[in-house]
Amino acid sequence: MDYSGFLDGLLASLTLTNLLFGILGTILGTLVGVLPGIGPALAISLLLPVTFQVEPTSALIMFCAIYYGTMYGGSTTSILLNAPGESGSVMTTIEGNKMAKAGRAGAALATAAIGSFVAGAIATSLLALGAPAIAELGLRLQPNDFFALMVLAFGTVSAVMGQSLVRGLIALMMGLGIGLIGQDVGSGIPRMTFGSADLLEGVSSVTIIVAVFALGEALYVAFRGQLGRANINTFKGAAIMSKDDWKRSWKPWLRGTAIGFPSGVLPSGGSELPTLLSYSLEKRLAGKNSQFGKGAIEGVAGPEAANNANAAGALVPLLALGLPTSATAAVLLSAFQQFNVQAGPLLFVNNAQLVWTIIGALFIGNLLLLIINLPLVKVWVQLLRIPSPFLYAGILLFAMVGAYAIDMSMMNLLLTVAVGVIGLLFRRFGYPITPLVLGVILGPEAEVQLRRAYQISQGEPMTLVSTGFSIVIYSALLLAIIGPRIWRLVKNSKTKA
Amino acid sequence: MIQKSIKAAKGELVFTSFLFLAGFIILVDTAALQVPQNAEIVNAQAFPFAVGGLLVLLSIIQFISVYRGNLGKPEDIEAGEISAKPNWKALAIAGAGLVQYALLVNMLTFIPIGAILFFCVASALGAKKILKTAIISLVVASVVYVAFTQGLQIQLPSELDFNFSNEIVVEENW
Repeated sequence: MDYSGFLDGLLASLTLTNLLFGILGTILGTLVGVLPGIGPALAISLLLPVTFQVEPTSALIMFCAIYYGTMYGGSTTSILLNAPGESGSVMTTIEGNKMAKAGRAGAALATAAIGSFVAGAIATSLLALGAPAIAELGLRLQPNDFFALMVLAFGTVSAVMGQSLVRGLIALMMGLGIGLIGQDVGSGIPRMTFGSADLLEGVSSVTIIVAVFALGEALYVAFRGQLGRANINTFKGAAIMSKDDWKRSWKPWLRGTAIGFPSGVLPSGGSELPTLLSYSLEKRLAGKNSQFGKGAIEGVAGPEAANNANAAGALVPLLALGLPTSATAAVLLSAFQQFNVQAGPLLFVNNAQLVWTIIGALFIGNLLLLIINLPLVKVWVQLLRIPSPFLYAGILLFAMVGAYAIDMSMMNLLLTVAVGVIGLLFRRFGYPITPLVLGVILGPEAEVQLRRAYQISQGEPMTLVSTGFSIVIYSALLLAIIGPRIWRLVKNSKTKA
Repeated sequence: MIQKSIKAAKGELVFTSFLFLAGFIILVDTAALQVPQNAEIVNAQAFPFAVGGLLVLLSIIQFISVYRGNLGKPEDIEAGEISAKPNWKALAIAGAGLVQYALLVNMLTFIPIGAILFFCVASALGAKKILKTAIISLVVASVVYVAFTQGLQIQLPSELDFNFSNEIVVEENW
């Protein structure tokens, strides 16, 4: 394994341009984390068409900083507003808002920010150590192994997200179906274009993401929502912790990191699951006489560390294998594709400088986030005073500008609106969005690997399960899907008996 | 209550049928592909057949499940709560804003059309004061226009264009 590039990368990330893009990313990320209606996946895809002219390294640094930044910003609204800005901050809301009501907002904000920093620093170190090792393993993988990994990502994300496995799989198939549109890479045959020349190039993933996240959400809120007036908890003084707070926080931070990082590496579909696990763990460890339910700092420290570690963990399979495990990671993958940078095992060989610069920038971004979040938290809170209708209207206007910038055609704008309606219907009927996004972005690559596998094996039907690696992966997938069901059956039969 | 759930079920059954239709369209389109013989072992039809087939199968399973009363729960909203009744009027206003933008932005320039989009969405989501909303809409659209064209060098339509033919489509990104 070659870690020699790390120091060079760290230095390269400190050039003025890269540093400025890093700062811009952390600010935008915090903003996105604080504001409702816009998450990291949408924010990055809105910036994709805008950054076409920017140097790839700078743009990718900014995107990663946004990703980290949202995890910081999300906690602010959870604590002060009782509304999680991000899905990964839902668990923070429970104890964080109670702490704020009890006049301990400063301590809650501090443990969230410092915990995020600690988790981010540890997890980024693990990323720097682990990603090259996994990439090395990745170099030995065959196309059938890669296909197995993608099926694993598809399967677990469909199973974990959403209200039922069938709903998740349907969302995935819709995504894969949309991904089919355009000329087939292998043969050049147009598929699902219905004779339209505009569709030959395929549907831009930016169009899809902007449509399902921004339009889908805004239309859904119009249709079924009741936007509330922001009820902001008062927050006096500074975001600092007492000695006792430190004593109670550091263990949950480390435990949260230990849960968050591996769950990011494995395809478990984002930060909901690890934050939930961390919260339950802290609650159980605190015992009966704890402050849980009345504003326990452990309940903020753990989940906040978990969601930051999770974000860093998700970058491991993304950089090392080209495998996204969440919607945001999928969008980052399409950002790499936009700059013709192939994420995956060869990244550390062909683009060593780039990838080490990004990792270096993550360390610096993590520090910047701590600096801009602790003292400036009151500035961010002011943003919450923007009335929600204007906020959504603004996001939608940005979204439509982004969709327009892709190719300036009416066709693409109409398509965006149509896919936005699908986003609305998915929300209304309880279908998860993440599998759809993953299907659109990763589907074409999965098909390429599938066909390559059969090409190499000369059509041997069992080739997909012919390597030890692929058998392990498929078994893991089976276990991940069937395991919880069997567990539930056993549990139910026990309670009945 | 029962009446209400039957109505919701109807909506969801229609949506599930739409998913079935999408799968069916994928299958039909794939079957019609002219694939060169023996060019590849797994050709351009295999993957779409699998996707379309699975979508058809899953949507049938889901249809039966919904029919038996297993309805989907509407997703939560970040900045508020789910209302009891669907608001068709608000949806129509927001939708109209989007559609007019898609159809007219190239013809009638960005600032007025973008402002109408902003106005429609803000009004649909509960902005009450018409004049205030209208002024904010115009200001936001103008700021966005300047920021994108001057700051980010992204062209947004600024001249009236009533040319309906597709001949002057600029395709520089080849």
